[in-house]
Amino acid sequence: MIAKSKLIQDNRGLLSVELANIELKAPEFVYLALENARCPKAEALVKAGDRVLLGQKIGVRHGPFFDQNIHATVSGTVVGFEKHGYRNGKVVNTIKIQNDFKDEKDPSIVERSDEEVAKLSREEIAEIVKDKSMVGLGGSSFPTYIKFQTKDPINTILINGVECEPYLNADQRLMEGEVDKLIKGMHLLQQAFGTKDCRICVKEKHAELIQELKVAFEEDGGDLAVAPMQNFYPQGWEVAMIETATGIRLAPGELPAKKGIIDFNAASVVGIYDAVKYNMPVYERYLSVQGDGVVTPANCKLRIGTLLSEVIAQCGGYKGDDKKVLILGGPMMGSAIPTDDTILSKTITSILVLNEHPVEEHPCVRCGSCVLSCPAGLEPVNIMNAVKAVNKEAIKALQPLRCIECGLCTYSCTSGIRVTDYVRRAKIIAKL
Amino acid sequence: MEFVKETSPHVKRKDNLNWMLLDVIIALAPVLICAFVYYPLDALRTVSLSVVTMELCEFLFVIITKKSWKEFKLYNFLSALISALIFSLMMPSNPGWESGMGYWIVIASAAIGIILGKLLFGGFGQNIFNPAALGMVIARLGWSGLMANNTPNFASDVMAGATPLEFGKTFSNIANANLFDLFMGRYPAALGEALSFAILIGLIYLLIRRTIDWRVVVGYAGAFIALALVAGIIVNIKLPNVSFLKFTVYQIFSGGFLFCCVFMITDPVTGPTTSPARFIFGAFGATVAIFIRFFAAAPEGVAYGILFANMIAPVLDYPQWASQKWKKWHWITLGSLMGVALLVVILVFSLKEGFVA
Repeated sequence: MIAKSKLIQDNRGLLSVELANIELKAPEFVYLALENARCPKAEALVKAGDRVLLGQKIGVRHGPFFDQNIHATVSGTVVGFEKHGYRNGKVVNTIKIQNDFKDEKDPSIVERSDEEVAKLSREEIAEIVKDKSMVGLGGSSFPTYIKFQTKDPINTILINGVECEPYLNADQRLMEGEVDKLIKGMHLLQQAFGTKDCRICVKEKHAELIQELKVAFEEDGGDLAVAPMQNFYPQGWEVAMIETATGIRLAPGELPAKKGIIDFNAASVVGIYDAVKYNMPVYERYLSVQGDGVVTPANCKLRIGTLLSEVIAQCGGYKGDDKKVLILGGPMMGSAIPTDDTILSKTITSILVLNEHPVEEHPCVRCGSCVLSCPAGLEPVNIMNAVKAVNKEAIKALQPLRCIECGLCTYSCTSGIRVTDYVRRAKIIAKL
Repeated sequence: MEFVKETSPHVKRKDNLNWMLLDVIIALAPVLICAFVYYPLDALRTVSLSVVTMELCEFLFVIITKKSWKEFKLYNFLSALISALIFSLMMPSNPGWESGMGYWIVIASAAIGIILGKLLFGGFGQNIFNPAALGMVIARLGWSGLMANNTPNFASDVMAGATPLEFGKTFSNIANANLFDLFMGRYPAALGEALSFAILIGLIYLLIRRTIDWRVVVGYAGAFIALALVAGIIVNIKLPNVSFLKFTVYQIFSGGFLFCCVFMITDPVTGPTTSPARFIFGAFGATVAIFIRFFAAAPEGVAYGILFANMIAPVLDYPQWASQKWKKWHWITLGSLMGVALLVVILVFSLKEGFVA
């Protein structure tokens, strides 16, 4: 088939299943990663046997140009240090804390009064957000305070609630359940950036949610708005979202702030509000557990630092004897991890347990479906051929660095070739 | 529990290469059936000989390169079958069966077509030239006398003896042509390329199934019809009894234009991959085809058009300038191609003494 792919087919019949809402039991132990993908070095400020409180600073990660605090997500006793899998598939050092189930808050967690919050400047908010190690909760884990430090004048704030990957609806759940905090968080952003234009981007197909948000915004005073988004994938990509919401198409590599736009993930907005108002770092988040390889697919609220195997067990365990693909994130962009002995960090939006469906690879027939589908306007098939030919000039000319790894080229490939892998290789070669 | 390590994405669109190839065969079926109805024995001989030859070449190639017959996959079989069917449908109904030359011609040109056009480049997916078009051209060049040997097995009132293209080389003849016979393929021609109605059924099927890219079809048909229309208008001015509409329709339904437009120029392997390039690719193939049809000694040029277009496909896909977005050079290339072609057609048709007669 020579066709552009815009909607992701639901070949496993997963979208028809209404997700159960389950209460996860608070974990007996939590494991907090010391290092992570952005910060290769870290130090712990606690030792085995120490008592820690919820929200207490227990370590610092050192990134290339910033430090990130590590906060306890339960109150209890530090057991020691253990190695566990991380979302990128690597093994990291973690601080193991035994939960005492009291959720006793650290003395630093003091609520600010509304008057205090209203007086905060953008720099002060950035400082708080940095101190609470807020990062983009949509999966990018980009430090949020850096966004607050932009020098460009901001006219428009967009809240990304698109969640364009199929099978996910943790953000939808969040927007339904935390409308209050969302609205207050949006006002906080308006205050920080000195603009009234603040819109939340939600897919058209969530008509009910849009209606709810509109009513809530109306009651609130009416200076917040909903920007309906189209249903295609990848509508949640910054560039596509900004284009649909404002009509402005960013040039490749251009930061939205240059056009006076800044965007935040919906979960991040709630996180920023919690950090500013309650001085509370992110210690739990909404999460979808989905897939044809798990007994009870469900939505739940997860305590950060829980082991993946424990969450799966609470969702009824694995279904069937097929080999499983274990994915953190969505089916299009999420990475498959080698083991379920993996800790769940705050940037994980969902867990997918899919039964393996091997795809047979055939020779490329140059049908061009990947070229038609590529949202970045690249030619994945030509990039693949250039990689196969190890032709560095051709690879550079094809600009693989503009690729956002949305996965549509592999998804739409008639011959079942993993085109995205070739483009990833081209990105590495192009950087050399 | 065993976990599979795979890279993202983890879901796959529901489509399959084998289905894509099978679709082409399904689309060829109406043409094939009509060919068997119109020329039962000739079609049987040509089709079976070329299918066996091409499948055998493909099979030997797989054994030589992959060292195992198990590597002869369904797509190998289907793609060779498609090439063989297209090749045989473009052959004349009687390339000399009586003298025995016909058998030799079919086998030799089918083998040369698939070996030179496809296998030498690395087989399925690697070829630069359309194997069927190449085989056809080899047969035309090698045995041009026999290639014109189209004997109809039915009564044709208007164009007895000559193919419509020879008939139509004298433009005033077109006024007497029966367009319905033309549309039904009831005139001496190659086995399958004259069966316009059956080809159009295949076109609709392929477009619905999205097996071919409409951009190539639009580029090819658009350029062809535009050039034929301009030529028709000049002919109409000079010969008032030949209406320009009838002239254009005559050009569309005679010769191999429709067949190539649906089954040959649309072969994705031998074409470019970006959308603007596909329009240019199609327009170029049509321009070459119509130039040969109007200005060359050979009666028909669509197969040459395909091969020439195949040659420029890698140029259009050259990484330094290929782009999925319409760039300035796309417009300049397409514009100058069509501009020059129209200019040549207008000048020759209106100025050359005795050309329109």
